[in-house]
Amino acid sequence: MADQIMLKVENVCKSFGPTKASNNVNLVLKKGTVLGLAGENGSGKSTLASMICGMQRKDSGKFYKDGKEFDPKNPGDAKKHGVAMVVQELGVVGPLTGAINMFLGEMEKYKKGPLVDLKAMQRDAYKQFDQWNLPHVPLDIPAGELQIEQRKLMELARALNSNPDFLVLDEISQALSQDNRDVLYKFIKKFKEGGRTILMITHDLEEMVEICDEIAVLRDGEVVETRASSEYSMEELKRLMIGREVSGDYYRDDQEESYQKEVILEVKDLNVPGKCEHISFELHKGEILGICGLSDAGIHELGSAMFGLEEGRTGSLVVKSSNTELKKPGDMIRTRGAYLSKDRDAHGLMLDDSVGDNLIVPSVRELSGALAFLSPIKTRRLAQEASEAFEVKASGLGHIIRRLSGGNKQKVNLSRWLIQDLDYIILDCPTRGVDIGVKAYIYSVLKEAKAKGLGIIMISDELAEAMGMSDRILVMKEHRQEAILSRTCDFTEEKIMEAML
Amino acid sequence: MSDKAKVLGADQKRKRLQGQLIIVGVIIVICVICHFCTGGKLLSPVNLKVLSIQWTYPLLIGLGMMFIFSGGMVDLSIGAQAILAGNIGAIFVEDFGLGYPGLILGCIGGVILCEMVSASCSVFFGIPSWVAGLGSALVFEAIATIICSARSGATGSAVVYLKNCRVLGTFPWIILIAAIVFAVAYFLFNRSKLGLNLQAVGSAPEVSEAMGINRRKTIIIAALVGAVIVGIGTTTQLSYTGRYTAMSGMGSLAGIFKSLAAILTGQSFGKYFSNPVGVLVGSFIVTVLFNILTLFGVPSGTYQEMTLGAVVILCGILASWKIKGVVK
Repeated sequence: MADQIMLKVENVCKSFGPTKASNNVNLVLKKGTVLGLAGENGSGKSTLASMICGMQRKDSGKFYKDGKEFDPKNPGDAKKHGVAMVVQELGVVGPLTGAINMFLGEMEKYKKGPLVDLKAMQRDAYKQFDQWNLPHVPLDIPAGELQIEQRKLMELARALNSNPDFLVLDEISQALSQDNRDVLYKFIKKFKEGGRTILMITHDLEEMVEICDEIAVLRDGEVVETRASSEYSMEELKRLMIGREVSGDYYRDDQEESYQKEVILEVKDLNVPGKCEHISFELHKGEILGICGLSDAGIHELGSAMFGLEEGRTGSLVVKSSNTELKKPGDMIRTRGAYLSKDRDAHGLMLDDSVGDNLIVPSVRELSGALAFLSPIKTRRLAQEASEAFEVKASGLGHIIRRLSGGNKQKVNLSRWLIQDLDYIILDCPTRGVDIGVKAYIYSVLKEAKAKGLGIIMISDELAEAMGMSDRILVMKEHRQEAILSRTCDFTEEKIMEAML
Repeated sequence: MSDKAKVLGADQKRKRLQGQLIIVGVIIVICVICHFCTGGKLLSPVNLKVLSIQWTYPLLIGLGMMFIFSGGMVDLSIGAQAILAGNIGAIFVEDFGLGYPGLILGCIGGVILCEMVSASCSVFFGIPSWVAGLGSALVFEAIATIICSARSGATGSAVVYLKNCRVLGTFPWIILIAAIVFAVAYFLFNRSKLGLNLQAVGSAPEVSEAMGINRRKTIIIAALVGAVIVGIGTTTQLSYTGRYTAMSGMGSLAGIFKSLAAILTGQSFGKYFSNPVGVLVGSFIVTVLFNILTLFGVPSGTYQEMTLGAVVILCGILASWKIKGVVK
């Protein structure tokens, strides 16, 4: 079966103004296999995937599916040909329930006279979850109230509604915690066993090599290499993606818990019932404190609770240098702190504003001159510096954020805070959706910031990242603090997993 | 469903129900207090009957506007549409002797025609809906004024009075019609393919198009449904008051002010009520408020409307109390 061709991409080109997102792309995807698309942010992976799924039209070239020419005009058309996709950025209708979201555009079969049978819809939705052994998420509440991870799982189940034989997964695993990643891997195995094909985009190269049968490397819109994943070494894959050698040891190379004695932030009995309960710890100057847990352990809620976004929070968070208690988001900003949410689109970026405007927003107070006017020279300089430092791939500072790739959005989101003179920062999944090069850069910036005395709380779904970067790891289990482990003696996967489970 | 998913869902529903009970409870308590403050007038049977009749117009127009606005259109020509269609309906009855069919055809058909013109300008020609709506309002107002002025030559009055066919504006028919329209609107909005697609188009147009929903078709059909409801509201109101006075210079906006306030109030309770119920609650609050102010002897016009504006803002503040957002 693996010799039969499911999809063929022939000389496909796509341009956005002067930018060539896809340049004569040629690929062959066989039945019953998983093809990984590797490449830096902005290399054209998502563009290619969205053309296959009918979300964008190609400029030239051809697709062939099952030997016949295939030119999807829209996602519905692609669906009719057995092609479905889970998009990189979250795509749900917030006010409607998860069950309705799953069957949007396909309600005909649930019509009972003039009305729609919502119960049957929900029943079928859960059947879809069960069929593919996906963990249930609440489908009777507005989808906007679900966590990112739950929404991703719902999107995956939604994509499977049409019983596709070709599925595109665009950076789905990075929204998932370790236990749900395992669920995803089992799903992928089951899916391809039925002679179906997956086109997988992920920045987790270890995962890609492990899961995919073949890997195609894209650089600047062109396929530079395609071969069996077993034939790539990790270093070679990175080199092909970036176009130069990338150091493999991007995590910390020391094995010691090392930070200054001075406490920056003291958290005492922080409690948000049902979300994060009785959490206490101290963050020291120059410390990276990792926070880990399984899905639903409450790690992301802890971040938003510390920032002051969760209703009904009790306990105290005190910035020791000024003895200020943090009660609302403004308090954190005023005490030279910052918080980056995992959901950058909803809670971080101004999507319809320019790269430049997004970059300067946190620094407006510092950039303001007499009478609160902003100096155009200063603001432009700052935005330019941040953009260059993080190598944001955009046509300029005027480029609208919504049109950037996911990784480039994250670069903007991060850089605007990291260029500031902060005392502490809470980062919720800072490397979600960023490529290997940017990941390495972010880690180097964090190491540098740590050396300068910045206190960093890093909430992470990736165990390797937390172990690689943290001095201590606070492990959460069922919304409670289970353990605080030290880099010096406790950092083994077994110990951390034992605390998580 | 897994236990965890069940618990999360049940928790959300419990909070929603709590909120609903609190809102309804507060409204009832305020009404009871005001009843005693007005010397037992507010909840007297006679006043309740008046209240319920007065409630129907902001409710029906609000429900119609809800369908039109939910797809992302802000059409402010609805007041002008009602005036024009109401006058056409009255002329059909009084001048052409068409009876109830003429009344219904003039009012509902007139609003449908006007709304399709206004919505098409926005949907097919890409004009921002509020611009298309305001432009259309000026045109509809002018047409209504021209028709009424032309007719005044023969009748001696610039106002078209409906003297016959007024049963639809009497108790209990007007209440029955409003109740039926509310029930239909509720199920259409929350339980039909059109309503669910409309909500998707309004809140996430890109996602809905990616899911295969035809955005333009959905908006136009929803506008059509909205126009029918506004048309029914026009019919009952014309039957109740006996006239729609033609006005110019955007004066028609005043005619939908209460309905707009009802929608805004309803939206501020969006966390607890679906949109149709929100409009029902909002229109009740607005109607009761005006009634209470009248009973207290507050002059109509500026003071009553100033109070209404303050109440709309207060509802918004109370409904979003303790809701936290991210500082971007």
